[in-house]
Amino acid sequence: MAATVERRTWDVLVVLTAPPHTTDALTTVLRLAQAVLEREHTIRVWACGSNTMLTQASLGETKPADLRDPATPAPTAGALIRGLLTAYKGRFSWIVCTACSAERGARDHIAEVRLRSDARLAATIAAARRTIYIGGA
Amino acid sequence: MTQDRPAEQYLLVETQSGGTAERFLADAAALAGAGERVRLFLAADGVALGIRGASAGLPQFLGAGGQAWIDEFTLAHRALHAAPLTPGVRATGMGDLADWLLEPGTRVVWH
Repeated sequence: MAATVERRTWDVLVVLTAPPHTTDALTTVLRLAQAVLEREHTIRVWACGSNTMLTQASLGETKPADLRDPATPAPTAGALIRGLLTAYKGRFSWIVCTACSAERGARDHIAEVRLRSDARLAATIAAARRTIYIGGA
Repeated sequence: MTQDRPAEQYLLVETQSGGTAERFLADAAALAGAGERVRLFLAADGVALGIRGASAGLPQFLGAGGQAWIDEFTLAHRALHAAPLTPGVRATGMGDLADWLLEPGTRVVWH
């Protein structure tokens, strides 16, 4: 009898194509992810388009200081994503679309994220109980 | 959008304002008017719709039997926490949205 491979199912998949830095989409997604994780569920984000640039290691841990509060460090998006990946290891995943990443010359991502070909998007959706698409075409 | 079994309830998340958001609200009102259970969550730029008098479609949605919440984090972020809300709209946090999202039978549309 042929062996079967048990595929893992995730509670929520967010396909994020909305560009960062123009709306609150990224912040909203990270807040939603944290709320889902605090409820002991699983969630992963498929980062498409310019969202693939957020997790480049070269962006470091902090953004330039907020001049209204220079003493408080402002974490980069990559640092926030790494924080969730570390705090909720195994229940949160951030997937970087390799095509979008290569198209933008985004290389050297932080080690915690996964790189996945867009040919795997359908399989990734199939492995989620619920998929939310956020962004434009 | 979800692809699971027939929806027992709809969760509509509006993060924009303007013409397309009003059309989204009209669709939400049509769903609620058809007897479906519809929850609407206003977040990001969508919170503008929840300010009293700002949207023509929101009162129609509520009048059709829909339920609406507004993201308290975004309201504070935009210094709107003291602004008058459309009657029937309640402020809440991302935790409630997560709970509704995770309920079986929920069909989600995010705009």
